[in-house]
Amino acid sequence: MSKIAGLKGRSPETYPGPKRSGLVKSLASVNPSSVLLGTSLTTLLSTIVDVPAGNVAAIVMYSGVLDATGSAFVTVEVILNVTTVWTQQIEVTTTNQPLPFSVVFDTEYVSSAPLTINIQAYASLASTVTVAAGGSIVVMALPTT
Amino acid sequence: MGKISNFKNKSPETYPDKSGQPIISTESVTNLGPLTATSAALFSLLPHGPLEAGGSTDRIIVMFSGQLQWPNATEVHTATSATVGIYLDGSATPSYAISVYVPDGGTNPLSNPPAPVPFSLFWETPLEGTHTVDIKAQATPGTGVYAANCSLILITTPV
Repeated sequence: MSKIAGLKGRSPETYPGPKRSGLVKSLASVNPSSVLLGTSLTTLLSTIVDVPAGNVAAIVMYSGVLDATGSAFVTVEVILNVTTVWTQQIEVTTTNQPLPFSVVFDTEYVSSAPLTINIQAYASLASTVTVAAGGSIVVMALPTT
Repeated sequence: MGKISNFKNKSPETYPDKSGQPIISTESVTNLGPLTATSAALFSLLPHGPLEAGGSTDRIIVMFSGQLQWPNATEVHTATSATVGIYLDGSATPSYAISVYVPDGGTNPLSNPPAPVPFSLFWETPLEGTHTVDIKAQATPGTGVYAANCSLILITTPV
């Protein structure tokens, strides 16, 4: 087996990810409105991102803030089509203390069909008013071969 | 005119220079800081001012990460809600901004750690064009804020 530059001691079997080359397509949206979170999943985006068909993987980048009237756990999910592919939990502790957060995720998903990418969240307590604001998403769609 | 491999029935005039390859460019800059501002002054988090990127057929993806924390005891050590945002072309209005609460760590950094707050900004210009991009922060009046470990990446992508 030939050497792989920069991967000393590591084999292609260890890093089997598909090679990516071709035209990069970027998609983005900003939600200027605050989103009130309940205990069930709520979309943080004003527009769900639709990635056109074409054997693509997508790099998802999202930034925003959370705030709550008291202590609450907020679960943020990256949803690919109808499947949750990434989850992170964030604790918001005090009123009027907006907490920044971000999510970066690579779908590693190869599909000839279109993809929809959504960011959703829910709060742990119904008694605590929790909001998400300042949401901005950028998706880079990369062809896979 | 000679044949062009893999371009059967297609001329260079039709496909002058873009042959299906990604044409992106990146720029980046870091600024370890710390940087500070008081009295609600808007200040840049970049070391040498705004960066220019984009083009007539390009959009710009902006990726920034950094941290904010309370100023030291010689300045105004109080909690603040700072605004950090992306500013294009010298505008005084951010194209995208978030509000970040920065707690007051007190006057003694040994007993009250400075409690840095990490944050990120991800955003893309909504239209094609060339822009200068700056990242700025602003504390609420009567307070101050430190920024440090700032890193900016701009990716220019064709539409």
